[in-house]
Amino acid sequence: MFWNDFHFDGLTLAYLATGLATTLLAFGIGRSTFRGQKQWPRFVCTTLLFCAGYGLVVFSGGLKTLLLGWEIMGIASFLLMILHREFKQGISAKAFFIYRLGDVGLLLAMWASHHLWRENTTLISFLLVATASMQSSQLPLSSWLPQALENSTTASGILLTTLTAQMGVFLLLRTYPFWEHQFSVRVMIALLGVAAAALAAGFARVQSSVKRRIAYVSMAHTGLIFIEVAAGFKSLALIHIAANAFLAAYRLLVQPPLVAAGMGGRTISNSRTWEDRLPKKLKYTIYMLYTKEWGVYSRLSKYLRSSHHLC
Amino acid sequence: MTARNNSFDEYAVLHELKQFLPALSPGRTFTHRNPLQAFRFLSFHDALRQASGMLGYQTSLSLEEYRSFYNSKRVKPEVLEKVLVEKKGIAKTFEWQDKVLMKKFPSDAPPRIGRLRANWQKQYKTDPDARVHPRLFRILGNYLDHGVSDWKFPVRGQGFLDSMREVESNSFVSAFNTPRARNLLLHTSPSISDLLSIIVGDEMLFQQYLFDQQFAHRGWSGLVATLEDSRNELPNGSSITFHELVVFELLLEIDVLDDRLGSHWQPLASGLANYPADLFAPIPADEKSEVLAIWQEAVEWSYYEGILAGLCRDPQNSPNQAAGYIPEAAVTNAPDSLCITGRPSVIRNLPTGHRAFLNNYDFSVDPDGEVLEKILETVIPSLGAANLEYYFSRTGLTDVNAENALADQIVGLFGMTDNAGGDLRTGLPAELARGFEPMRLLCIVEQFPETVMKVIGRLREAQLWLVNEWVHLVVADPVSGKLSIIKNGELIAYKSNKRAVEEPVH
Repeated sequence: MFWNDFHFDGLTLAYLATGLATTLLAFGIGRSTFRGQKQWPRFVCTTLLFCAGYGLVVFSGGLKTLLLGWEIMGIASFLLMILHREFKQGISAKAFFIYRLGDVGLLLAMWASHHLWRENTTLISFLLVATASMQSSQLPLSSWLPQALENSTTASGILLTTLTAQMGVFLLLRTYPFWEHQFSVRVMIALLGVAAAALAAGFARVQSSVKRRIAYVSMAHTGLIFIEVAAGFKSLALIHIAANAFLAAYRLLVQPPLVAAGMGGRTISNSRTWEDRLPKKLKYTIYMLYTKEWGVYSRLSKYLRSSHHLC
Repeated sequence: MTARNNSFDEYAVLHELKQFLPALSPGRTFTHRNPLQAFRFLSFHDALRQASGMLGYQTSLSLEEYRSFYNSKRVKPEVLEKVLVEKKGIAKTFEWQDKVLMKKFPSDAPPRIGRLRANWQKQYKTDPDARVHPRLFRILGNYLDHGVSDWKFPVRGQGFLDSMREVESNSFVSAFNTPRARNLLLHTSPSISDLLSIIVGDEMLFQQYLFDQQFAHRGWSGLVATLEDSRNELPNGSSITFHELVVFELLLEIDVLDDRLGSHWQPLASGLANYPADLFAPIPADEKSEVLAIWQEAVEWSYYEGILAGLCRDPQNSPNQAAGYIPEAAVTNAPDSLCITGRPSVIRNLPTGHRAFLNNYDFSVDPDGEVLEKILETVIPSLGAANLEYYFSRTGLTDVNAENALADQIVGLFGMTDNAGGDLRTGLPAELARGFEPMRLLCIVEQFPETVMKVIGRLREAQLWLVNEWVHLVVADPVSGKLSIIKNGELIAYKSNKRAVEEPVH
């Protein structure tokens, strides 16, 4: 039965409402950015494709429908990132595959759920968690979101931060009944969340680029949401997701003004932070560590950079 | 060897390099300086050619774009013909008309900048910039931050290298990946030539190498150079000099090369079969550059013509004729391209729809031109710079195209980056410059030509602007009403194209 593939509940409603609001917002921004330019039709089509994928995912009642929507949304997300670029010399497939690596987990999980349903539920849960973690820009491939945000327009950025990155949590919530009773999985989700939140919060604190900072703040919140999900606070997680989405969208839209020339020194507060109380060695070490972003960033960007040169 | 050591004066080279860099100041993309400042001693079209061949700047519109102006009648055919006759003589007009309108030219040769450092890729299959830039920009961004990050750079009140030394000596995590560069920073105070002899080897190439290196991120370098010159302290009381930036970047380069190639690398010069062409050698004029110059003049004079025709008109003329100009004049929207110095009666003759800077000036009370000298000395460099800023934003000086500008982002509240390479944006955003034609400033002065020539002889900074035609100067004789223009440093009579006056083209 076709209708059995769809499902509607509070989770769907929450995601639908957040999705609708931020999509309209992104569309409004895109309209002012792209209207009258050659990217405008491209933007409209991509956003519609994105919405279709998003709708399929949030309404899905089974893994198959979810995967279909997931893939559509993945392709649309990638198109959103490269929306404003010209493709005179073609575009590297490598970047695309890195961004879409997460889907492999979902595919495997689907395959596993057919064949190993009874035998190895932990494996399936693990694959699901891996997919969710990747989609939500958590560890280990945590730097796709800052990368993507940095190289895309504000309109695309809003969709990517508020919707694409939140889909990982959706996957966790949707499959919640499945891993609810597996303690190890819940611990793993919580640990992933703790690690990502700690890392991303540090990255965000030392970040001087506005868009990357937004991405890291959003990532840190998603880490917290992972913990909430693992602890079973589903409603709290939903509220947090919506709040995080709107906060990120607001920050992307209302970017801080540049300093007035010559006034820089006086207008900006130079208050000391709690880090200043740390012993010097520790302070400098932590600062350098976070400035270098633990090397996480450079490793991935090495692969993605080659694609930027191509486009 | 020691004798040659003295030939590379790092401070002199850095000083020269600064002339070429954009004068970017924190929070501004508008620099209030001629973007081609370093080329100001050349005449305008020579400077465009030189800047384009040397630094790869896009200093003119594309031929296709100029031709489309012609097809849409924004460039008037009779003006183009006039420019051709002026530049090439009547005999060659026909031949050149064909070149201007039809001929296909091969695409430009790659610019000279960057050729020397491209040899890293050729010899060692490695591109230091790809690894150095992200790290350098990250550290610089954090160091210069004006208020984005919550946790500011932990060392305050010191110079850049001292701050880095302080962090390096106390941190368990280093900014470098290999010991050599780290030790050079910590235990020596390396000079630029010391570091360059490690990286490049041959002193002949030092200057070119520095130009290559700094022009790979001219925005950041320009910002640091301006910060140093303006002696503005950063918010946390620190300071940075251009010299420090170069030293640190060279250290990072050594680090990256050591990291990537281990001990298997030699200074760049040792593997060079032949040295690349001198960066500063003059670039000879070719047909294409001449054609572009002709087009540019034609675009400008198509616009000026209407204005000058209005000025020629007798003030007592019937108002009907003046009304005929309104639709034509309102078409052009080149900002900051007109400046009039004269009595109100002259200003009143300006066709409506033009935005002009007006200076009230009465020739009769200034027989020696002392007032005029002051006016020109102030007005021309400042308006000229503002005008050229628009001009080169329109031609897309550094290839900042609209697609990149769509993905721009703010760094540290002091600048914007808009490309994957991460350099700071210089010049105005492309969308600001869209829709108008690049146009030099037209200065109209109401005074006797002889007086104006004397004044020009006395000018200091503004003289270069006028003599090298970075700004057009038209002198309106207050008695006869005749117009004359400056060409090659001399005043010549301006003949208005009457046809253009009577048949305004829409």
